[in-house]
Amino acid sequence: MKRLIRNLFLRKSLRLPNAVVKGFSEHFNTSKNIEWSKIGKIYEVLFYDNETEKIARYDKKGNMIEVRTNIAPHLLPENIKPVAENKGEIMNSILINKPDSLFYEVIVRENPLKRIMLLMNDKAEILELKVL
Amino acid sequence: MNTDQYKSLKDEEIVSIIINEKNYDLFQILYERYNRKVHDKCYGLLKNKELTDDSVQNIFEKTFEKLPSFKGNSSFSSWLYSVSYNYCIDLLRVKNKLHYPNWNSSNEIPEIIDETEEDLTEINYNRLLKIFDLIHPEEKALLLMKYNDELPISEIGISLRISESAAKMRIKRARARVVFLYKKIYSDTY
Repeated sequence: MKRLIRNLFLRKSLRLPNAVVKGFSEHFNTSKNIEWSKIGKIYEVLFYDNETEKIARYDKKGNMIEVRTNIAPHLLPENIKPVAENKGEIMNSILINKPDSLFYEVIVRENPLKRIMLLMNDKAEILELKVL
Repeated sequence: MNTDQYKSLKDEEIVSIIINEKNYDLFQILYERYNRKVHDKCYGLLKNKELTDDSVQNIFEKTFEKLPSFKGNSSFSSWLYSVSYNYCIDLLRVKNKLHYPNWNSSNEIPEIIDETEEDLTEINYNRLLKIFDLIHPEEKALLLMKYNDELPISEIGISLRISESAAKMRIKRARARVVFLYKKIYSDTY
């Protein structure tokens, strides 16, 4: 009981390089509910930006590696959506913005208990297909 | 078979003996250790006693069958809880036709509350549980897996058949929804 409340609401702090803090605040100055974590050598931040969930990743020099944005299925580009829908009903979609390229991670439901993750580039080519 | 001499062993040691020495009777020890906890988790999601009893039985049968695939990357309890959540959510998806995207779009969070501006340290546990019952079972399961059972994101993703990024974002949203509802319903005091 105490563990649930403590974990849910207590804010954990992580020591961050100044360059990472600077990089993040330059990109997202209206962010809120920020949660940092370190995964290997990568600094990852999960936050809200304009009421949307985002995950941004930085290297220790504050260079942005990628930003993942949760997007509603109807906001998927016209070339991406039908390719995903061809595999099943869209249940989740994430835009992955890397410095030079865009990708889409879409989870579709083939039947009530089978979900497939599709990773596509902006040309709607499927780069990865994984049963979840 | 008398299993008393094994009762002081850790879960993972018991699993190892079951797998390597094919001493299947020892599974009873694990069942006795976790039966109640699995039952509570299932009932929390299913809200039906008969369904919960059947589910607990099925979860332990499934766990027993899958035991050789237990790699020990996480603790046995984490793995068992992950199997339990997966079973219950799958059951609800089929039985109640749970559809998270539809529910989420018709239950948009009116406001993402800035948690740094709120004092969330005095949250009342019983009130929190009432809020948990107002949200979608998948969101409830996500919050319990992450914050109560402390399962790794990879296991959470596998349990709900979603990617790790989707799991992180849904947990974030579930938490924002809980904070919003708590503030709305219990605005008098935390």
